[in-house]
Amino acid sequence: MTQHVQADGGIYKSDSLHRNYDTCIAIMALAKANTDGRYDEILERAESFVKHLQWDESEGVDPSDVRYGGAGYGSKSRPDLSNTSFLVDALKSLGRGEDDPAIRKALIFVSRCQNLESPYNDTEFAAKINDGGFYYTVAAGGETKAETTPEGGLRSYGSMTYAGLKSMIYAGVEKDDPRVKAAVDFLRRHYDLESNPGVGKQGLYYYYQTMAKALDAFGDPSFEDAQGTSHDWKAELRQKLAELQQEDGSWVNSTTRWMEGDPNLVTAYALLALSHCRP
Amino acid sequence: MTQLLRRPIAVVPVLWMAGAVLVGSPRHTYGEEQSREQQQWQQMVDRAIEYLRVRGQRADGSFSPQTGIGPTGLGSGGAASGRCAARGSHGEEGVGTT
Repeated sequence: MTQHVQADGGIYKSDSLHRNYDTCIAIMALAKANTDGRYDEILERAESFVKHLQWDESEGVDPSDVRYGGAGYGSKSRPDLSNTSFLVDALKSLGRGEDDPAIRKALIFVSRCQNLESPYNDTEFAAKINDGGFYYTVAAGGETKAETTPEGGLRSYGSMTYAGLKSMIYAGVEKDDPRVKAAVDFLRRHYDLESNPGVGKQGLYYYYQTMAKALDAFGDPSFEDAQGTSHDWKAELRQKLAELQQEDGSWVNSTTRWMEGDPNLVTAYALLALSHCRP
Repeated sequence: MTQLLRRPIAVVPVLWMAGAVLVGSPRHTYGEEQSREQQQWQQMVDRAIEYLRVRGQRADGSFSPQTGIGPTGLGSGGAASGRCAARGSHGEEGVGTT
């Protein structure tokens, strides 16, 4: 990874089309490996790089703009919740918290990707579905990876809802905040280890690692679904991953969208999920 | 008839012993379950890291470099998150070396 530190502080291959993802992921890995401070300078510059990619006043965008606070694939691309949640993850790995200006800006964007009309979200999509779940992006006319409704609503789906919930918790939003409550209610109605609710098997392992991180951050050892069944989610997720592990030790998704046909990537997702559900 | 009458009496100590085992040592049973789950978790993680180390990682330390450095960061970060010790000869660039 350190061979790919660029002059601008980013950590990516020079032809990369996902520089925010790459640098955020590298930050998280190097932060873990930085017990003796050897990566301090690289991390400092990388942090500056990803903060620079975030849509804010430096791009001439103010908080009234739906892009504000979001991160996209690169400097010129529209922001989305997935990239933004990786930005928040990376900043958290560097010890940044709710007072960090970039995390506060990110929370503005995250709140606007939720299907929930609230004082934090008055976009054109906010009330169309209003189920508390999250979708991919409010920017550039809005986009979901699930379905759209005939009225133009952007359907919520599982992985983005866990990503939204996790990002809000990392940004210091409390459990009794209407945004968190609505997101958790959505997830209670769609508690699922067989599929990524709303998009089936697509992005299933991304979903698992986001789910594990989010529920770990939420902090309850059991998660009650909308039918009143209490789930030991850590044990259930461990069991599911045990069932899905291949003979050679890897995991892979036969639904290959979003690069989940790559066993290296998918095995890494599974390991990250397992790190949050240790017995 | 006498045998039939005796049978329930003979069953009592067996049931008592079974009950004593089940009721008298719940911590032992719970501990064994915990240990089994920890073992299963560790085996899953070890097998995954072994896969990444032997079959996933290239000599330069990368994973799936054709898709950028994302899988490399996730693979090494995932392994480090599993708190697994460094193995193999890939040194600093290998998985789980933190």
